[in-house]
Amino acid sequence: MTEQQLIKEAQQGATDCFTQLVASYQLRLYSYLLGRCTHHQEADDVLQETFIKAYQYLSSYNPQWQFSTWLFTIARRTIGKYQAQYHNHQPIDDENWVTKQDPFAVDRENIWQLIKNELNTKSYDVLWFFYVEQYSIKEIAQITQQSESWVKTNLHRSKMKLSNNSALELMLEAH
Amino acid sequence: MTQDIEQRLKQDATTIKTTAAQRLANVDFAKSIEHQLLAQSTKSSHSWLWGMAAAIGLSLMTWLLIENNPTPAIMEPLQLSNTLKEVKQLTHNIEEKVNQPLLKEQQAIIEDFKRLKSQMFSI
Repeated sequence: MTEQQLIKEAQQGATDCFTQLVASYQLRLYSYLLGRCTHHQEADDVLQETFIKAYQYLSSYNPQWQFSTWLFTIARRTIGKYQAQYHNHQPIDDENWVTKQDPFAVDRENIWQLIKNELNTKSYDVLWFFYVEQYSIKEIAQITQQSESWVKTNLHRSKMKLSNNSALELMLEAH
Repeated sequence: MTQDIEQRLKQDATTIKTTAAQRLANVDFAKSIEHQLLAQSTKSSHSWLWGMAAAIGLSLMTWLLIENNPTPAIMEPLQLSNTLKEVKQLTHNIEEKVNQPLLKEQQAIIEDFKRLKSQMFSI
């Protein structure tokens, strides 16, 4: 079955077809979420919520866009809401961001962790979608719900900031 | 941006992807999500049944209410005249119980005044 057929079947209530779609995209989504979230439990919750929302709103999916961009759009919104809801009430202990007991945490030496700390989440998303997912500017604009010129400017500024970042310089030298 | 940074971005993303793949190997998300979706659809079908039952119950109650309390528009002429008689009787009763004592009181006051007046003139 092609992806479009799976989507059509899932739109008519075939959960097994939707599960196949989940299996196809979970690694890409989870990788993005794992880097973006504070800890793996948060990434787990957001991943589940993203797929459940996707199933609920599957009828609103526009096939002129890639299914993955639609999923990333939902994931971005879900993580935003999740973090606004929980982080306002539960302050994150920065020292516990990476623990030895958590084998699935993104380590501090990872450049994506540095981007998250030094830049903002929007810049993180733009860089991730551009360099890792290799989406076009138009597709990133679709996911981030911003204009194409905003994406270009954000990408340019993020690159400039990273080029002038001393912590990154040290990281690259150590490597 | 230097080539070094671009390379590092891709390389470290691969590290995250490996970590994510390890985590996914341990936890079957697809299965868990399928279970949740099935549970949700069962729940929503149950709520649909409850809604249906409530609608039927409400319709039955409305029907019974209409049957036991006919409106004047659908009354027989005989029933209507009886009801009118009952209403007249009720109005009369209310008047007797409320207005009559007041009228009697008023009459008594007038009588008192008349008596006082005649007494004053006699003086």
